[in-house]
Amino acid sequence: MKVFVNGAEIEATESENVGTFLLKRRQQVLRKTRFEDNPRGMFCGIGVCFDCIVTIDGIANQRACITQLRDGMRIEVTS
Amino acid sequence: MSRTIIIGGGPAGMSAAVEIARAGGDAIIIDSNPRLGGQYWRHGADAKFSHDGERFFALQDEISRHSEIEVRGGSQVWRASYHDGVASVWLNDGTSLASETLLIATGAYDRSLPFPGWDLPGSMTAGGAQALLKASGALLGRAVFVAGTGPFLLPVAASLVEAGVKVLGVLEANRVNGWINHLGAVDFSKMKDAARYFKILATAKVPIRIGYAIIEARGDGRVEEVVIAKVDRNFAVKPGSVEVHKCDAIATGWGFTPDLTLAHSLGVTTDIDVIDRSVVVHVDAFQETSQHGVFAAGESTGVGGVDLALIEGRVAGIAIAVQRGLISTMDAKNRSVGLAQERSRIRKFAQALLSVYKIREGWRSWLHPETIICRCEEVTFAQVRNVVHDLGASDVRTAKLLSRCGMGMCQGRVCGRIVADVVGAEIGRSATDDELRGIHNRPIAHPISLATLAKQGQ
Repeated sequence: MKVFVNGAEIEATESENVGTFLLKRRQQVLRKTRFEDNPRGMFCGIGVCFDCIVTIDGIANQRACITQLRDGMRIEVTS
Repeated sequence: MSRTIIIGGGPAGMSAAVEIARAGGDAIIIDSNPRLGGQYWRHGADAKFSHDGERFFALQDEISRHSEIEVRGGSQVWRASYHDGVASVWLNDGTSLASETLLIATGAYDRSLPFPGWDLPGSMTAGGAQALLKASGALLGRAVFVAGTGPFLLPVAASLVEAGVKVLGVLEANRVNGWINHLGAVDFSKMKDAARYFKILATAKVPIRIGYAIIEARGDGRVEEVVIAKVDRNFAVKPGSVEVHKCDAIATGWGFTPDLTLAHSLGVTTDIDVIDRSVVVHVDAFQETSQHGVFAAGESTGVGGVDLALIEGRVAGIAIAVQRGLISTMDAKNRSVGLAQERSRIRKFAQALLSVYKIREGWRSWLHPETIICRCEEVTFAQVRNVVHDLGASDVRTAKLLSRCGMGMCQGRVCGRIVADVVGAEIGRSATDDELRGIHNRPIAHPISLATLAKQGQ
């Protein structure tokens, strides 16, 4: 299946979550903070901390670590 | 009577479901993870376990054989309530469920302590680092430090080594001498586990440093180096012991926080643990809470590990079967042989561990004025001090309202206890029991869309 990261098409082979998929592709930084523009990545890894929030299919603030990849998914990260 | 609602598909929820099914009852297990197993048995699509997979498969097979047990994975409860003997839960897919019996098996998550740079990408919780690995073999970094306190640091470091990560050190802040003997004296199976972890770490020549902590992480946009130091019995830095090491990630863990969000919404009575002052669900001998028909098992009743969760889940499942009239109390007794004694033994062991691996107050000396306390709202230590000393906040709630600490997207799950302890220290008293309970008050447990809300209003 295929997913899109910031518009770039990437082949996704296994069923995993958005967070681990991006980390395996060296995308450690997932967003910049609202006030200080500081980089953030995954912290708790289990849906508790909301640090890994990304925009998925146009919907903001989705937790990368608990969102399963789907064919055609469009993911926006800020790094 | 409606089928039992089980919130959480980890060891406690799974073992309860099996007991209910054996008694001829029906149940639905709800979990945010698409797969059963919870944090302990988190696994990917290929369902591979480095160890202890047998018990998971036995439970999963039995659950799948019983068609009366529905597993609804990838589903989150965003609201729960209890009225007139009926517990109701609302799911993020817009549906809701109600039942006279419900089990809280919501588990726990890593307890974190803040330090300069803990918000940098590459800094994760110990449980988070392991979750990535278990779910899909993803690595948090290539060269990492594992630090904090507690026996959980060992399996995390060992599994990272096995996955090919260079573990530069395991730092245990507490002065635990003869770690392995301590574990072995109480529980032989735990000693075997610990011996296995030590062997893996020794073979990989990983230094295990007792009485050390990560006091700072630094880097340009991500973790590039770490500052470690020897700490005293109160976790204060020993002068002259500071070292700086290159690394590309760190995993820190300071024990666990039971997830009580839904328990709080269901209005169950809670206790404050005498050792670490964490909030836990109060249960009776049958794992029933103060609300009739609402039961709790596993970490929500106090952190005790997988073996305790499995037993508490079984006790709860059997008690639910009795309450639903599926089996007699005599039958329940036969099904419960030995469970109460085993539960009591492991609880004592868990309390002993908690006192050895206690968080000591000196960690606050690691903070710099600009250190982030609340990650979501980017509130610094200086700002928290400011609302106490300049704005006159004299309790935790006022300090939160004035600083926005704990009022971001995670709703204080990460910083709630940290804020309570920091504010308490600044105003010169410990956080009260009610202030600690207030940390878990989240009427909306998870964000939902307005569309879902509108659907549920219909």
